[in-house]
Amino acid sequence: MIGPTFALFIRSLREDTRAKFTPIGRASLVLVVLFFIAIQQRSFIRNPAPGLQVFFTVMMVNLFGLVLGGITAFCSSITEEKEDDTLGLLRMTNLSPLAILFGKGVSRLVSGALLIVSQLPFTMLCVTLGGVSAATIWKGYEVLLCTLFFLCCLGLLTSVIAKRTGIAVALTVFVGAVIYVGVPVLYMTNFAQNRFGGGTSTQSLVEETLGWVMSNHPLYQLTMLIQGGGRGFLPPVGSPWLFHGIGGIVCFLLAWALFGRFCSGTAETAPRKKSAKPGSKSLRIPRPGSRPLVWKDFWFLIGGRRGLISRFIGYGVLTFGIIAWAIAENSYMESKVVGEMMIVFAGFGLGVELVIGSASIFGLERKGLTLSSLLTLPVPLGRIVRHKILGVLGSFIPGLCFVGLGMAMTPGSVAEFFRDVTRRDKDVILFSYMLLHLVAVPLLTCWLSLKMRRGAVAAAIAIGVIWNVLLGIMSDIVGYEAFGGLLIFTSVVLVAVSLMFAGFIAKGIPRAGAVE
Amino acid sequence: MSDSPAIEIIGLRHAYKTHVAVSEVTFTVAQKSIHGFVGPNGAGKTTTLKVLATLLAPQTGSVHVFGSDIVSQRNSVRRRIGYIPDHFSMYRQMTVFEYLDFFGAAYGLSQKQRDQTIGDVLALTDMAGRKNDYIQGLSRGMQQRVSLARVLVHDPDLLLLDEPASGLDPRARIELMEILQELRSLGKTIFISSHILSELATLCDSVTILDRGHVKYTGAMRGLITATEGDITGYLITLAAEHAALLPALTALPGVTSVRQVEAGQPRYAVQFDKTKLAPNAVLQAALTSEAPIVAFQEDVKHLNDAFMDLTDPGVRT
Repeated sequence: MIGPTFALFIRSLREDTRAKFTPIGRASLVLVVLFFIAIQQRSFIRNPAPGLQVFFTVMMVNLFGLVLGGITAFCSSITEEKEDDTLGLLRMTNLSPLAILFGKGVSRLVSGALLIVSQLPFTMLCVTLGGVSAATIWKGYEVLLCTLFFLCCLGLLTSVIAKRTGIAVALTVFVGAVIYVGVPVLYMTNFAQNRFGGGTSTQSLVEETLGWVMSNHPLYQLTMLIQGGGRGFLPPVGSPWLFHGIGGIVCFLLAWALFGRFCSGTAETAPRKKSAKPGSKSLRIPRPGSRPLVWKDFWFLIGGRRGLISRFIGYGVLTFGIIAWAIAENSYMESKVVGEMMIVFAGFGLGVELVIGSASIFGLERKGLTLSSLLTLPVPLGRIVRHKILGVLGSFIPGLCFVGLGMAMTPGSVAEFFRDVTRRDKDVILFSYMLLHLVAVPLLTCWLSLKMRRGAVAAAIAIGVIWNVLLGIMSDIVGYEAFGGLLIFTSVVLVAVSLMFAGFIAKGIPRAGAVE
Repeated sequence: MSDSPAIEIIGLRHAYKTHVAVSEVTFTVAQKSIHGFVGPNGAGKTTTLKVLATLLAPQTGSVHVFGSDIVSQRNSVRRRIGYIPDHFSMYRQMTVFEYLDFFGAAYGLSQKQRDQTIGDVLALTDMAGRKNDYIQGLSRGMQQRVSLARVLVHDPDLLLLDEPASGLDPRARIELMEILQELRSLGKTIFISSHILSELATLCDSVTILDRGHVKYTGAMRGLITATEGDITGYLITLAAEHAALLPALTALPGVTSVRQVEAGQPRYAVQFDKTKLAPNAVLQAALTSEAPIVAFQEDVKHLNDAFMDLTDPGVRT
C-alpha cells in the first residue's frame, strides 16, 4: 500500500504546489500578520510583554486562515475526484479506500501545516520582543495543529459523504458551527441561568459535556493561554489532543467505513429513469415558460419545490430550537426574545444563502462546462444575468418569511432598532455601510467563482473580513471624531469596488465561456 | 435563404496574449454541404470554431455566416447556428426531455413547437426511448446524440461540430456519420472538425486543412484526394490474375503517359493519362478488349491521411 499511497500523496502535493492560489494564500496570510504587527508597533512601548501580544495576533490570524482555507481545501479532497469523474479511475488502480483517504488527506494536512510553518519567523520575532515563554509557544502550535487535524478529518468525512464540494462545505460548516458556536452559546447561557437565574449548582451530564467541549475550543484555549489560565465561571483548559485528536480519528474511521457506500462508481454511472407515472406529482417539474433560464436555475440550481420545502424545514427546526431554548430559559415563551433571535438567525441564514448563491450562479456553469452553451443562445448577456438572478431569488423566500415572522413577533424592537439607527448621522452611515456589503460581497464572490475552481466563498469572506479589520484599525488610528468621514470614504470605495466587480463579471462571463 | 456562402472567413487572426492561434485564415463553405476542418493538435481549429460560434470575437479579419457579420449581427447568427463544443456541455441532473425542452424554450419556441421538434430530433438521433432518462446515466455515445439533438432543437441552418466523434466507439461513430449525412439531405450545412480522417474523406464535400494557425488547403475534398496533377489523371485496374496482353493494349492508347504495376506480384496496375485526350471509359474499353480478367476499375485516389501528412509539418506546435 505504501508505494501507491505515496504516489497519490506526491501527486496531490504537486498539484497543490502548482496551483496559483497556494503561494498567494500563504503570502496574503504573512502580509496580514505583518500588517497587524506594524499597526501594533505603537503599543509595544506600553506593553510589558510585546512578544506575547504579537504571538496572540499570529495565532489568531492563523486560526482564522486555517478555518477558512482548511474548510475549502479539506472538503474538496474526495469531491473534486467525484466532480472530475476520476474517482472511478483511482478505484481501478491498486489503491484501497484507506490508501485514497490517506493519500488525499495527508497532502492537505501537510499543506495546512506548511501554512502554519510559514509563520515561524514571526514566532522568532515574538521571542526577540520578549514576554512569551517556550511552553506558551509550544502550546499555541499544539492547539493549531490539533484543530488542523480535526478539520482535515471532518472535511474528509463530509467529502466522502457529499457528491459536490459545496454540499461538503455546507455539512462541515454546520458541524463546525454546532461545535464551535452552538456549544459556547449554550454553555454561557446555562452558566448565566445558573448564576443569575437561581439555578442549581449541581452539574448535570449535559452541563459537564458542554463544559468539556468548551474547554477544548481552540479560541478559548488560545485566549486562556495568553491570559494564563481560566477565570471564574469558565472551565479549565482541556488537552488539545484529547478532543480534536479523538474527534479527528473518529471522523477518519467513519470516512473509511462509509467510503464504499458513498464513493461507489456504480451509483454514478447506472442509467436512471425519471418516474413516468402520471400520478407522481412530487417529481413533476413544470415545463419551461417564457423565462427558461429562471426555470432552470429555480428547479435545478436551488432545488425547486423540494429545495424550498427543505429550507422551510431548516428554518422551522431553528425556530423550534429557539422556542425550546426560550422556554427552558424563562419557563415561558417570550415572543420578543424569540422574534429577535429569529431575525438574527434567519438573517444569518439569508447571508449564507446569498454568498453561496453568488458563488453558484455562474460558478457551477463554469465547473459543468455549460457556459458556452448558454452564451451561444440568441439572448443578450444582460438578460442571461438578470434571469439567472431571478431564478436564484426563490431560495431567499423561506429565510425572508422567517425574518418577517420574527419582525411580526417583535414589532416594537424593529421600530426601536430603526429609531436608534437613524438617530445620529454616524449610525446612518454605519448602517448604510453594512448594507453595502449585501451588494459588494455577492459581486466579489461571483467574480471569484469565475476565476477560481474552488474556494470562492472562503476567499470572499477572507477578503471581507480583512477589509473590515483594516477599517477597524484605521478608525482606531484616526479616532472617533474622524470616524464618520472615514466611513463615508470607505463606503464610496465600496461602491466603486462593487461597480468594478460588476464590470469584471460582465467581462469574465464571456471569457470563461470561451476558454471552456 | 440568400445565396451567400454558409461561412465566409477572410483574414481571420486571433491571438491569446503573445500566442497567435490563427493567422490570415481565409476560406468559404458552401450552403448545404459538409465541410471538414482538419489539422494537428494546436493548429487553431477550436479557436476558429469558437469564433464561428460567436464565443470569441475576431481580432482582425471578417467572419460572416449566411451573409451576417458575427460581431454586429451576433444574435441573428446565433439563431442560425448550432454549436457542439469538444467537451460534453450538459446539465447532467436533467432528463433528456427536460434538457431539450429547456433549450427549445431558450430559443423562443412555443410549447407546441417544442413538442413537435423534440419528438423529431429524438427520432432522428434514435433517443426517443431514452427521453425520460437522466443525462448523467447515459453512455458517452448517447450523450453525444443528446448534444446533437440539442443543437437541432431550434432547427439551425449551420451545425458547428468540434470533434463530435471523439471518444465514441466504432458503431457510435458510424451512426453519427449516418445522422450527419441525413442532416445534409435535410438541407443543413455541417462544419465538422475531426481527427478521424478516413470518415471525413467519405463524408465531406469540401475540406480545410489548418496547420500552425495557417490554412494549408481549402477546397473540394475530391481535389485533395485525387491523384490529379494538371491534366494528367490516374486510374487503378485490378485483375483476378496476371494478364500479359494488358500492358501493350494500354500503352498503345494515345494520351497514356505511364502504366505500371503497383506492387510486384500483385495483379494491380496504375494507369496515368491526359484526360483532355483520353476518357476513362476508353481505358476501360481497351482493357476489356485485351480480355483481361478485370475485378475493379477505379480512380486512383490518395488517402486523406497521406494528403494530410503531405500538407502539414511534422512535430508539435510550440
